[in-house]
Amino acid sequence: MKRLIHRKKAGLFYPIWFAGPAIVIYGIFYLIPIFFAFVMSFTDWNMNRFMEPVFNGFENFQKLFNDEVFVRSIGNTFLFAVTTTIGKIVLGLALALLLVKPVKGNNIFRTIFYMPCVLSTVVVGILFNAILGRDGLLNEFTAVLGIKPIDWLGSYSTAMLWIILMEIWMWGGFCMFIFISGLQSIPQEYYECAEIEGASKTAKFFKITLPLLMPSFTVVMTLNITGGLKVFDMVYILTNGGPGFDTQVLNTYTYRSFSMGFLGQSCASAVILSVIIVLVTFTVNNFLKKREVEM
Amino acid sequence: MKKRWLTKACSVALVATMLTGMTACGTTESDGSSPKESSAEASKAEPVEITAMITQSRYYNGLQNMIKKLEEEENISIDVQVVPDEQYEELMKMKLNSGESADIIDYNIPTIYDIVDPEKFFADLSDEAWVDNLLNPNTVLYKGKVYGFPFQSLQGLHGFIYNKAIFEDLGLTVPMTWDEFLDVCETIKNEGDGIVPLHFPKDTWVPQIIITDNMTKALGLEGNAEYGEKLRTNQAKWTDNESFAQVIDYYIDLFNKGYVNEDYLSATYDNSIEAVGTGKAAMHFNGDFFAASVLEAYPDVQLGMFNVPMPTAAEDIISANTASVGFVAYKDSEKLDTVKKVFELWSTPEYADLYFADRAGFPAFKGVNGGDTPDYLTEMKDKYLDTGKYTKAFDAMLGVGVTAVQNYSWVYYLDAPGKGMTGSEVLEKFQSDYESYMKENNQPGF
Repeated sequence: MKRLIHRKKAGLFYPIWFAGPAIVIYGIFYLIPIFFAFVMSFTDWNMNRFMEPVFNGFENFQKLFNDEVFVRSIGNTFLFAVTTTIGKIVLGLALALLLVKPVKGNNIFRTIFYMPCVLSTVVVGILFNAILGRDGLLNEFTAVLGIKPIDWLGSYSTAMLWIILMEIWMWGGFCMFIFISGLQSIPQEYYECAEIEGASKTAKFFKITLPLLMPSFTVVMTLNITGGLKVFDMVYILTNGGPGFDTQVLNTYTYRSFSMGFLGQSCASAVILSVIIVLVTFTVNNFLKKREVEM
Repeated sequence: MKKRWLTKACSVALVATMLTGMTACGTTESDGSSPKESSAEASKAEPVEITAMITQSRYYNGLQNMIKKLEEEENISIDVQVVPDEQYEELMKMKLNSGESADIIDYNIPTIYDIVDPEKFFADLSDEAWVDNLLNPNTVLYKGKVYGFPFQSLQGLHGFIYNKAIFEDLGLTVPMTWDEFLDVCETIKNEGDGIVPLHFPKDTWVPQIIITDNMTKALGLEGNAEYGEKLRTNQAKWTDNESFAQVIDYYIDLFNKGYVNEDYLSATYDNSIEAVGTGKAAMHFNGDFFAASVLEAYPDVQLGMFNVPMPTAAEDIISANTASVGFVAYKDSEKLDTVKKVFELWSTPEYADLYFADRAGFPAFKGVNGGDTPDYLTEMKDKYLDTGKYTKAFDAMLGVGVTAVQNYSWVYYLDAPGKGMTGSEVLEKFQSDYESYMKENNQPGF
């Protein structure tokens, strides 16, 4: 009996030993800060009272939901997450369907479409600032067509539109690769059977391709929704939440709040964002998992 | 035998210790010597490194040359941490609060005294020799003590900077009243072949200057500080003074009349410099440092500067940035002696002249050459500076409230023209943010 316990303990020794460093690092840099931010979100922690935070209950959360800029930033965050996810899926799937076939030169095209997501967001931001400026490339082009120059980043609708388009342009190629791997894993026999049965191309797409591509959809959708809700860099570089506070998203709001010294409030804002991400991601993931088809 | 050897060893150690102590005393004495003497002995000095936190936009060539000279002649190197302007203030507070501050910190003196408690964080420099050489010691005082080292006695004057060639081509003269100013704008708009009368960028600190300047003028030389103090202690509200709303309305009117560049929500500060420098725009409202920056980029352009108050002005004055670019020393720095030596050296003309070599200005110390007054500034200097018709803006009295002003009202000023807001709507909106910010920071009266 003693030997059995000893053997069991010895069996546990190695996994714990190897997982230990990872747990410690994960704990120090991830779990402890999350826990700390959660606790501090219920205090009046401020840059001017750095060492003297006082518990203030739900005051920070109450203030946030009374702030029209915060409410607007929640709306913008959802708008960005949903539209970019749809855009990236449509673009990624279309490119994947085009480039999955062994056509000459498709590797070059795959590389070209994938390239934007390798670029630094800062570089892309500067690039698009040059394109979208009043004297930028886009206005030069539209001037040829006789259209008056537009201040693309100077109004909410166009600024938000370009932030969304930039994100889709950057990450569409990434989604394309996930869809390509999904498409390649669908057995050809299904299509051959459908061919013999006389199924049309549309029928094959909706009855075979789409259902069997559901695992890829789950991955793409989950990754993009989560990434979309966490957006910061794209907005910060292109508009910095402006004009005014029009294009603020939750992360830029949190950053602004932090930089003004409202540390407790920015923790509360980060906690709200985390809760939203967890809820949305789990719901989307569960919904899509149920629709996946066994091959 | 063993005992004798031990006694000898102890004696040698004791003598060595005493000698080292004497050398150390000697070193301490030489620390108090004049900068010239220490320069001569620099080759013998051990290399020392101190750290400095500097705002990105103020890491001028002059300052870089002063740092280089220190390293070459005194063997003192400065590890410079250049921080983007918009992140500077909070990063500075964070570093100070967490005890990880740089040895010296760049900021406007005395503005920093409102933002950080100088008694808690900064070294008292009152007994330093350079204090006696200050031209305007009042600017660095806090409760009778000196906590900051300034470079300037005055940072700059505010007004319209204009491209002279455009005015000459269109036969325009410098306006004296607001109505004349509007006529000039109208002429440039109609006859200027696409030239924008007035250029503003999206950087919120720029368009606010014309508003803050004119609010200050509306309060006048006497009422200015008093009203700022009232706003700081909640004895007055931003909405109380009718002229404040009118100033914003006059400003918005410039946009409505089409006198401002249409891309003011996306143009950058560099675009403003380029626009005035290349003649795409005729005017810009800012501190006179803007003209220096335009001339750095476009040395051949002819610039002028004038002051035209809005009709709300109580008297013909200008607002000036009376705070100086400078440094404070971190109280708990382990290298405070070196820091003090650096300040002592920097106060001498040998070093301080370098600061003004590229950009003429108003030096903080006696005997320092601030360069010749630039042509564009001569008239403004004669009319306002030399006659005492200038004041610092009322918002310099707001203490921590300045952060609220910068983060809310400046954004609203930029946003208001496009959203069809009026001056009173802007101020009502801001008053609520201001109160909330001051309460959050436990300010007395709120």
